Amino acid sequence: MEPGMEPSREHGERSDAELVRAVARFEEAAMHELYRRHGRAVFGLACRLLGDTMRAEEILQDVFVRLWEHPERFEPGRGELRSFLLRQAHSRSIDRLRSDTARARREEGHEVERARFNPGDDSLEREVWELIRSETVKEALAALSAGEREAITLAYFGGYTYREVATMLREPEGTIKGRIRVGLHKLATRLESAGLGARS
Amino acid sequence: MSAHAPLDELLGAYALDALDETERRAIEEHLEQSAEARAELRQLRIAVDALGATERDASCPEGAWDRIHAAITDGPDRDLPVLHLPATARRHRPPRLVAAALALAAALVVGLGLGAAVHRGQAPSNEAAVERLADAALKDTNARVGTLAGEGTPAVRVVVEPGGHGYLFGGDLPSLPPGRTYQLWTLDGAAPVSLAVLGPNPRIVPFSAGAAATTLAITDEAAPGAAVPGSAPLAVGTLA
Repeated sequence: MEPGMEPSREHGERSDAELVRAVARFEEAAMHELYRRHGRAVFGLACRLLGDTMRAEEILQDVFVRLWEHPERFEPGRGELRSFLLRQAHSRSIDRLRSDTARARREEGHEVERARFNPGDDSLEREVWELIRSETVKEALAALSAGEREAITLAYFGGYTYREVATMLREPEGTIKGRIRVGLHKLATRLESAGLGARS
Repeated sequence: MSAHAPLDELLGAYALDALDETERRAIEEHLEQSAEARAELRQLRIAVDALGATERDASCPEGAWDRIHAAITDGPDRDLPVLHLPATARRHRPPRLVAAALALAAALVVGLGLGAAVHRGQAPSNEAAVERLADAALKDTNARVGTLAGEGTPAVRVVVEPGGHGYLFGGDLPSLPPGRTYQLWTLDGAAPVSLAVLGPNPRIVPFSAGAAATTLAITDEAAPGAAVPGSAPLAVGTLA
């Protein structure tokens, strides 16, 4: 087991919501347990988006330090902690990506990644597709039209604005924002039908 | 068709963080006003959250937790022991319109003495004793806790015991220039009421909030403090 990832005997049985309330009372051990549970997911998403482990660690640190400083921003009634943290990680990674310097670094990093894992394949969508491990989500994405799927994956995993996606795909901006909205609704409906959309 | 249809069309892109800054601000204002838009966003986020969760977990870099731990303990609470308490408090977002309400109330309020509730934030004569008392308040499971937050201001934690005695952990606040001071207010009544003048460089500051105080705010005022807030709050939060 990697260092820092040993489960806490005292906190291992507590729910995420209980641990967040403990964080509000300055319990560092509760914070560590939350990091143990969700740190790898946050780091994995940031790595995927930024293509750079050093910058991804900055996002990891930023997300958890903000949780420590603002535990009240997590509202258990509105969803799971992991979703909350991943949303933070995505948003902060995208902010980082949208500086030109960061984007250049990412492009460089992705080239290395492709060369290592997928030589000759320069399709971002395909790369993302292969990384997706959830069969249910994969099936739900597969049920979308190709245009909806492409727009959503480029925006979410590529970090592009819908305007940039429209330029890349040579489609009107209105078409792309429509595909994203409709596609997400279809995805949400399928996920709910499969029991993955329920909110706690 | 909704009068806000053009904005609603951007909700999908907003859920994916795929808007530029101007559009993002417009959507966030729209969301504050439209329950329908908020409901649609909740639905869209079911899909977006699933996309995020599809990514492979990655082993965190060696030492990552140590660096996070150092960052979170390098604050106002760094000298406090790790606490092991049953969690009882429920927390809520700070109210969105409190800043505007505070500004309005400040314009209406009639001169308030700072009164007996004011505690000077400059280095207490026995800092260790204050820290022990604050630590005891944190250990009191009946005490209410809150985080005062604001754009560009480090989070400030407060704890208030059932009797109304409170402690503010202000060590992360940046030092103010000479002639300025932080000031703590309660916003529960018709007008803001001063709870404490915190000084230009507060650390752990005791104050008396009254048992019913719920919404607190910090402002930056001219020393030695103001009877009514002279500016919008730097940070606002609720006790729960």
